[in-house]
Amino acid sequence: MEVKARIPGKVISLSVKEGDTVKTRALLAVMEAMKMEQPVASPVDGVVKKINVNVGDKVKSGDVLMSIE
Amino acid sequence: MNEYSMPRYFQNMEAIGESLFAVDPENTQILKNAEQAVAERIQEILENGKATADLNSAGQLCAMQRIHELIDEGTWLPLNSLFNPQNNANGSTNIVKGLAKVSGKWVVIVASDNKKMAGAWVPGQAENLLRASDTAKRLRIPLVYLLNCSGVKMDEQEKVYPDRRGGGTPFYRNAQLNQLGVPVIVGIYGTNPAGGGYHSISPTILIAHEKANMAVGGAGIVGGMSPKGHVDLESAQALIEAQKELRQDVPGTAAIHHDETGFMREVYGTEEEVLAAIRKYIGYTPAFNPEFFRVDTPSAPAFPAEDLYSLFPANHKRPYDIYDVIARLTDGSQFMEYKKGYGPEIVTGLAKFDGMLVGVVANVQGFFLDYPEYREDALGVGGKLYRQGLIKMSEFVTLCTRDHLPMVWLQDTTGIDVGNEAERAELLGLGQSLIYSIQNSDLPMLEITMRKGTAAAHYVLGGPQGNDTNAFSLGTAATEIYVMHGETAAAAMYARRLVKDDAAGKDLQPTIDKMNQLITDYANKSRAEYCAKAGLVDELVSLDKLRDYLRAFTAAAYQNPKGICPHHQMVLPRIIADYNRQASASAEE
Repeated sequence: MEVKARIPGKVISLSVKEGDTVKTRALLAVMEAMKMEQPVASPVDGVVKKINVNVGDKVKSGDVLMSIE
Repeated sequence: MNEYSMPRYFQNMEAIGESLFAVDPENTQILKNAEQAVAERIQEILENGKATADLNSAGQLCAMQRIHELIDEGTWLPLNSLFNPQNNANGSTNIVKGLAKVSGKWVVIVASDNKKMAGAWVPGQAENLLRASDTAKRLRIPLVYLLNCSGVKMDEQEKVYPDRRGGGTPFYRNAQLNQLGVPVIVGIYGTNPAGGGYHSISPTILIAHEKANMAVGGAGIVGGMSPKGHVDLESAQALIEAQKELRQDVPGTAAIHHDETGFMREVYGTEEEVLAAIRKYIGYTPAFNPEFFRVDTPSAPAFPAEDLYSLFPANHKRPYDIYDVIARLTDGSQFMEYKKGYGPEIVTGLAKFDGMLVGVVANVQGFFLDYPEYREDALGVGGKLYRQGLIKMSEFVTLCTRDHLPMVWLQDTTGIDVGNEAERAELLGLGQSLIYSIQNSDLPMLEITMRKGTAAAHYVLGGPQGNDTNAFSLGTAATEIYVMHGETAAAAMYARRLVKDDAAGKDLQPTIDKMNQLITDYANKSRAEYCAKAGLVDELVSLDKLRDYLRAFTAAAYQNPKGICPHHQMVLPRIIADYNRQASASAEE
């Protein structure tokens, strides 16, 4: 399952790495826009397969941040 | 057990909120440390002055002992504990104030703090007293004074005695409460000359301790009435003689004001009996049984209040789910939301506290993609107010007015949207329109600045400026109130100066230093404890105590309300039900 950026902004932290097992609602990353933070939570139980972004990257809404299997 | 009207509306509200995903120890620690610091400061201020043991050995109880002896156990909810707008050295305005139940009824209590200068009037006290009468008036609940007031602090009389909202104003307020049918009951202790005398006489019913006195002027004034314009040895000697005589004949004792004038309705030999008499008279005042107005059996929230310490971030840059917060406050974590989705930056809806209906308005945090609708490629930010949210709030307030529902505002706002698109979208007019709706409501309201109160949004979201509606306002350890962020203010004040100096080739550092000074100053004068001291909020409340205040506000608002809407004649619940039905029908299509 692809985890997409809901808003345009900057990735300011990643809480997981590839291969990590995550639960639904676990924090995956934090984005920032207009000086406010936006946590990105896992929509499913699974394993982080691929992370497409680095801390500091600017993303558009809809960009795939990572995929979880 | 009683049955309730309209169960399909009121006993079937949606349960909201999710269970806590994970405890956040860091956030919990920050909030609890801040709450602990507030609690310690309050205790320190209460302890300032004469030791309780010394008062007790002189045969007096202290203010807090009187309060606890008076009230129904466990019902004390202090207000303005940190209020000290004029910086009195003891940290206090020499009164202790709060809400409590007495004989099963909610009342506002003002107790002279007899640990401090025998309860003298000091700077800021009048404003605190006016807030007590504001609360009593708005909630239509009795005002009780536990009076022990030595009158004006002589060397600061110019800050205490005169003025439009000064020493005399509470007496007019007591007259006004009487006009409105709101009783004011006083228990009189100790020496109450001049201002203390008017505090004694202006209530509805006077109960006195046998050693109490109240008078137009005290012994000191009567003794010093023939001044030469200065003091010399002869007049000092005369004063000594007069004083000795007056010590034996203090004006306005029970011998005069009970036995002769009959102003004091009852006089008792012990402090406890005075308090028992107050309880008796509160027992004679009108109050609906809460069951009369209930729409459901009272129930606790489905989730523990302790969760708030993890899901409500102290860091203002972090969002939270307002439904999760509401779910820790309302009966059964239930909420009947009005126009969900329209104006997504605001949540409005009906909730129950102890089974009684309240209208709730709250800011939503986070982001809204493609919103507001009047901007292209918009990204709305939680805490801001936009066109739809402002319109929705005005509608909601108006419907609560129609249905006579008291209101609660959970405020956490960074302001109303700005720029020409916002102007075209009429936000300036809609903000004021909400103020009109609130003023027009004549409803009792409680406002809680959960985190930020900023710019005019702090006013329009049920803020304390609405003197006729706001019963009192609260803050949390995370509260911050300012017209704008310090950095924004520094930029607004100094941007042109920077441009000028830069063009002139001047050193920018002095201006940069000034900007940073302003930012620091803003931070110091906006944090929670400052807000409480200045009276921008009426108490800082721990997150796990918020529901206690919400329940007290609700029960007080329904105790003796100004108007009633029969449950079966309410329109708001029908509008919500039909709106939701239509929304889900169009969602299926």
